[in-house]
Amino acid sequence: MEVVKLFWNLPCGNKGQVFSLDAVIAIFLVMIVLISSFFMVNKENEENYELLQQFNLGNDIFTVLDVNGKLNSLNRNSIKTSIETILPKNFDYSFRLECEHKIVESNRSVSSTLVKGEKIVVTNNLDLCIMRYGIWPK
Amino acid sequence: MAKIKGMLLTLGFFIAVIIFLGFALIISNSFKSSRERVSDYIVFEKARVLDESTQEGFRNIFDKVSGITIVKGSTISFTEELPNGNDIKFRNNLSRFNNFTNSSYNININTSLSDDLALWIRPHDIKYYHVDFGDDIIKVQPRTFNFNKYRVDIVTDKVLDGTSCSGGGGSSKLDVTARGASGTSCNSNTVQNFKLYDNTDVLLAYVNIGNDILTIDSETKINVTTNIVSLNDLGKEVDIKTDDNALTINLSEYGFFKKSAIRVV
Repeated sequence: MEVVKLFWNLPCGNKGQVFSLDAVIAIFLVMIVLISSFFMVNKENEENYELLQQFNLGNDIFTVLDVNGKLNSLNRNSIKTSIETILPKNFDYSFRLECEHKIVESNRSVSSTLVKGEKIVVTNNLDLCIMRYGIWPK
Repeated sequence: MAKIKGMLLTLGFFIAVIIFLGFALIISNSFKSSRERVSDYIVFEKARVLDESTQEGFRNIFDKVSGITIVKGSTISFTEELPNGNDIKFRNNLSRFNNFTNSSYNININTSLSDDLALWIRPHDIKYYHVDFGDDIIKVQPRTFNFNKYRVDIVTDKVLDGTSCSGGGGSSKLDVTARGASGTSCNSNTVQNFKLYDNTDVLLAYVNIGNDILTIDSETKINVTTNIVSLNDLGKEVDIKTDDNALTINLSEYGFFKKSAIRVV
């Protein structure tokens, strides 16, 4: 205790320790700011890339189904099977095919999805439909 | 001295806080900007998908109903019956498609394009069209003659004989072949005008080239393939498109407006 007291009461004063402490705290603060900045910026970019990936994946999948004529049947189970064949296992989906005289939709509502895509579909039998869809990670 | 030290310490903390706030501001702006870019991208992609799917829909209707078959290569071939009896069906389906897209989006398909059903070979700027779609005349009008020649192949269910093909005037730009019932056929090459008769001398078709414009006329039902032979290589992919004002997309909620042709092939 005596030694500590001696240490804190040097004849030249305490300014060395105060400045050192100040510098350490400053470096510590700057490090925290920098690390949290990089962390948050990366996190934000990740979230954005995820959104874009989901959106593009949805567009790609439903375009492939349309071009390959998998939507022509206007049958829910047939469309679901086609989607599940090509959709990566770690994603879930919903769709709603609104035709002139018929609506075909998946169990889950499209409106609950974060990013929705939509496209116009003309089937082989010239049924005119709008396909709304959403893809998200499970 | 102590006062100066205190001021320096305060200044130090002040600068540290300013740096901290500065970083916070930069991160916040980065968040906002990044999110805006993503939203812009998604909006643009939504518009693009709607645009492409509308064009795909038009192509489906064209393929199923127009009665015109197009083969694309260095030679472009258009095959259809003349007179084309699909005009009413095509007009009705196009009108229905336009009403459908209009009911959900501000997407307008110019239904008047079915009047002459003009198809442009781009980038060669060659226009294949009907004087009145459903009527008996087809024309091909190039802006410049940037291909080798026209070759017209006619198929009829009438019987042809040795005098069926009657070609006149010398032109290296037009060859015509005709095939009739029972394996009969005839042809006329390097002609300016051409008449096809059946074996009872009834005029079946008339083909003419003037000012590089090809005209094919037939009031009797024939199947005609118009070949635009050996297109010059203009260094770009060849597309077959409608008129430039065929499709208008005005998604004002996204700030997106587009007027364009529809790619058919």
